[in-house]
Amino acid sequence: MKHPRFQILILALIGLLLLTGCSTSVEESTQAVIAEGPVVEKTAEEPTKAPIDEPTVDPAVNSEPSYAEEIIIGIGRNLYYGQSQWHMIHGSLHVWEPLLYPDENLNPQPYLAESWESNEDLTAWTFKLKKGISFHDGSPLTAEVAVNNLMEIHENYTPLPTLDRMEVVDESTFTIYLTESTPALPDLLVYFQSAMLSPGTRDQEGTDQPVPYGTGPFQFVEYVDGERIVLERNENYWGEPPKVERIIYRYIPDAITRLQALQSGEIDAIADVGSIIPSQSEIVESDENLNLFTVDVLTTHYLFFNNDKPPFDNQILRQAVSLAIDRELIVNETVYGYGVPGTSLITQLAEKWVNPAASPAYDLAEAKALAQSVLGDERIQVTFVLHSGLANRWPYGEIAQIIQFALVDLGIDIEIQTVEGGTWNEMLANDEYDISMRPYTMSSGDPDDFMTYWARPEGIFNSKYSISYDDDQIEVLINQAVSEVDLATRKAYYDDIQAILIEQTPFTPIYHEVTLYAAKDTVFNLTLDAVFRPSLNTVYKLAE
Amino acid sequence: MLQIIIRKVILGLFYLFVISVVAFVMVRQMPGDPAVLIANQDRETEAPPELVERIRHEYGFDRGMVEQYRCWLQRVIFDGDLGYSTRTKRPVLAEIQSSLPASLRLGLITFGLTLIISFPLGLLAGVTNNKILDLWIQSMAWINYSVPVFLLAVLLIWFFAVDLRLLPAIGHETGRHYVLPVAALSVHLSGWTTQVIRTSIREISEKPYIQFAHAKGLKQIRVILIHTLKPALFPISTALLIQLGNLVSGSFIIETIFAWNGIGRLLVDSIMARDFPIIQGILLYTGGIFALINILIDSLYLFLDPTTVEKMGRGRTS
Amino acid sequence: MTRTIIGALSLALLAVILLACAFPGLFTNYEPNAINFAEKFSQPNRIHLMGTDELGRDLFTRLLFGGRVTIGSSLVIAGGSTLIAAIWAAVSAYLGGIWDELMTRIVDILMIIPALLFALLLISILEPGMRSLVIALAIVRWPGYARILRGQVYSLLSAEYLVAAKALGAKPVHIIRRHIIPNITMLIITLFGLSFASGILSISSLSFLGFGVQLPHPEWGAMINAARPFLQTRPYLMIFPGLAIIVTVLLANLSLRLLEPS
Repeated sequence: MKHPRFQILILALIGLLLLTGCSTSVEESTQAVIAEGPVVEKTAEEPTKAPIDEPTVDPAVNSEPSYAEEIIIGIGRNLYYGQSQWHMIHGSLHVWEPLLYPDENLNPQPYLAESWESNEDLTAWTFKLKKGISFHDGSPLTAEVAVNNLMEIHENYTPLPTLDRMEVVDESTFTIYLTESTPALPDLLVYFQSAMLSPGTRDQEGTDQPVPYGTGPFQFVEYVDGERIVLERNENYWGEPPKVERIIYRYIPDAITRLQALQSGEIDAIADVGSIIPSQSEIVESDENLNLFTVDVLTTHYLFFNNDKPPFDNQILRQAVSLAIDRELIVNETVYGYGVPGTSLITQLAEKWVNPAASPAYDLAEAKALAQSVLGDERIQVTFVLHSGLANRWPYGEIAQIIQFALVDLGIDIEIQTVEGGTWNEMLANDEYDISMRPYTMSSGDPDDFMTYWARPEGIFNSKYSISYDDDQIEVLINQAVSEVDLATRKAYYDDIQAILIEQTPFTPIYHEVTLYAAKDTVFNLTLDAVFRPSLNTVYKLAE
Repeated sequence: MLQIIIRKVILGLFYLFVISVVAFVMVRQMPGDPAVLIANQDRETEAPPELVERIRHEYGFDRGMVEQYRCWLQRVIFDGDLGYSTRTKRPVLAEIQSSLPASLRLGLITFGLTLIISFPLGLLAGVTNNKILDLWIQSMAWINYSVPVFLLAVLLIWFFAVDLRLLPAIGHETGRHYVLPVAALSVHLSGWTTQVIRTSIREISEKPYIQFAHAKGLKQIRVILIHTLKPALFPISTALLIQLGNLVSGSFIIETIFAWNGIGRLLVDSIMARDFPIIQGILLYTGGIFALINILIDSLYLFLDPTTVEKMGRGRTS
Repeated sequence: MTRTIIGALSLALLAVILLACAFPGLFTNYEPNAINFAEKFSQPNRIHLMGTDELGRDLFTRLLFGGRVTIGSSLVIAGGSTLIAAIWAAVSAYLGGIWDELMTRIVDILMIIPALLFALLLISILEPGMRSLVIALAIVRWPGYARILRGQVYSLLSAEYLVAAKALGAKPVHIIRRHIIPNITMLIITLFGLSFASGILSISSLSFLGFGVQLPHPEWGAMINAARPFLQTRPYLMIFPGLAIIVTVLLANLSLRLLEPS
């Protein structure tokens, strides 16, 4: 350098910057946020319920089989959340267990709870816990611990709409008091809503890698950032001990790479919702070393509108769009038949609540007529915003293109924008969209769950995504339904609600998910249930 | 000579400083309110305004840009503290350290292999009088260059991992895991490098003094090695350095396709999530490596050939 | 001789590709985005030269329209980056002294930041979409070319006749226009060609990763990405766009042979 002046100037500048004090400290900045806030999965679906379609599994044929110590499962999303979510690790990993878990018919069954009963008007429910169960850190599961966990979930996760208070009765008994009759209380307490973690789990503020201490058959060993979660068998498990010693969850974000890893033998199974995309089914089927399984899950994929922004503040136009969507074609062509056309608002698995009369139809002529009545001969331009992460796990791109193509005849020109998750959330919150899509899993099997997310004016998705659906009549019906004791009357309320929501079309179902999963032919007893929780407690693999 | 090296070091530090300023200004130009993003990232419901405000204050987003930058720089220099990731809440340094080694290894192996392939070929094509040989090497080089890395990676995995089951498709645990990614990167890069080396050599060998040396009857090999190669090394190394810089900063494409949790993917994920501390940290790191390589190579040159001092003072031209 | 033939042939072929992509209507009767499930996954045949994709769209048509995006934006990147570089180099070399020093340093610093990452950073600042991609790549590319050009301009400027012209009071604009520009035109054209070829690779790489072009519009890299699930069952979906990229980049590079002094 020929100009020493230049260097001196620079040094002086840097020196000046460094010498002036830094007014307030930023040190504590980063960690404080974690404690705050209810948290669900970063990705887009919540837990759900019970096994429906048991895949066929052959028992081991060898008379003297030798089992592999380790099974590696490939997944497309990160299931370890650390401090950022209160349960720290996904329920699929069997590290923590819930008090209640749904059976095949979506009825709550005892898990860590032994039994429960209510008073006559369903305002006080008493739960008894199984005895002698302890967490991975050695501390016992007591009524007090259970109540603390439930309160935490209520405050930070999914609120119980009618909760008054919870009281510990004795070492293994507690009572939940409600302000109104709540017949569906056990339904509202299944799986994630009653996850049990030891008190010690909470005392790990500031740790890089907090350990979730649960009661499950597997305990957390290690999480390698963005790569793998290592689980080891809990030798003191209260139930039937698992056959496999170690399970490794391998995070492979790209669906194609994931399947290739299974084909090349580096992983043993792919078992999660949205982990094998339907267009890959052919490949799995043609690979003689692999088995393909399917399971109906409680997940439904919805199209939703921005209801308070033109043009879709207009109900007729929303109806026109819904009528122009050929749901059967979408199921056949984009998910290759691995799905159920969205002919009911809530998952078809919640059969006892579905109103078969409230079903979105496909009628292109009617759709054109409706659009014509609003738009005349004008054409309008709307934005369809897609979440890139979701579009990687489900064929949302193809679906959007099919809808886009169908709406051209209606005088509606769609511009598809695929954006990354954070941006998607932000655009939706800021009203910068007209149409979007996301999956939703009716985890409890109870329709009030759906209302809490979608239909209530302050509903979680309804407000967060600026869907802005607000109807007085619906609000009244929802509140009546949740505390209605008589089952038939309750069903009648939900029938009305479904009819109104299908009529007004603030959001509309596209298809109900059928999840694909696959494993090497040396892996046995691997099943997923309707909440895509794999059977880690029974799975085993023959040594190769 | 020492003085020149010291000067180079100061210049390198200055570059780092400028890069950190550029990075700082750029990440803060990204659309979206970082406080809102951080507040919302793990929540199902919308974050209440008080929480957003608190985060804004805690992260210092409510202060002026110069002020924010100064605090950041102070902590980096005096405490060696790059801050915490807003996405994973882990220290930036830990995040970089866990994703760096594999990427660095991939970059260096690829670079080494590329040199081994390209140097003899480029040199040969550059000095030979055989036009067909020159053309042949060049054509191969162009074809290699024309194959996109991502396409080759996809095809290699399909063939060697899925079809033949010879090599692993994902991960970086053992040496075998590196074969496919290195191959995918090297083919394209060696095409480019061979061309650069050939052109540089040819340019020098057409200079009058080389022609003269040949005419004078100096030994062919001597002319090539001493008089042609040495001056050509200058532009060649300049060009290669940029590639090395790109390599050690991680190949995002390769890391995505092979499911590596490398530095390239870390950066892209962080850009997506507006994870400012990580973006700044990585840019500082890549800038640092780049500056370091620069200084090392320059020092090597000074050592080999003190007459380059004058040229370097001018800033290199290629 | 061989060189010239190869160069001329490549240029001619490249011209055909450019023409086909510029006026796809002359070569195909299909709409690039028209969905037709009746003809989903047709193998290449007489009606659909390259077959059809997962939505029954004609692959050949999409390849042409996709080429429009890929090639068109690469041309803009090449033009933009060489233009900025040329102006920068000329101004820098002409001003000389501390300005030259400063401008050289700026280029050096910009080159330290890894290109692809710098581009991604820029894309995330600008609005997502093809336009940002093009702008970002042009911004990332120019410093390298500026450095090469400056070297060339520098040696031209120190040529004796120019020093004389300057001493005699020739206007700066005059010097740049009459002496410098013509002399480095050749170099600029070469850089343009190289930039075009690398532009195609960069654009398709980033589109492959999901940046840039939005659905349903075709682009070569994006088409390859969309074909990945079908690689084992319908490889033609990936082969054709893959070949399109390889051939175009190769032809662009070989065309430069024409320019090389033999």
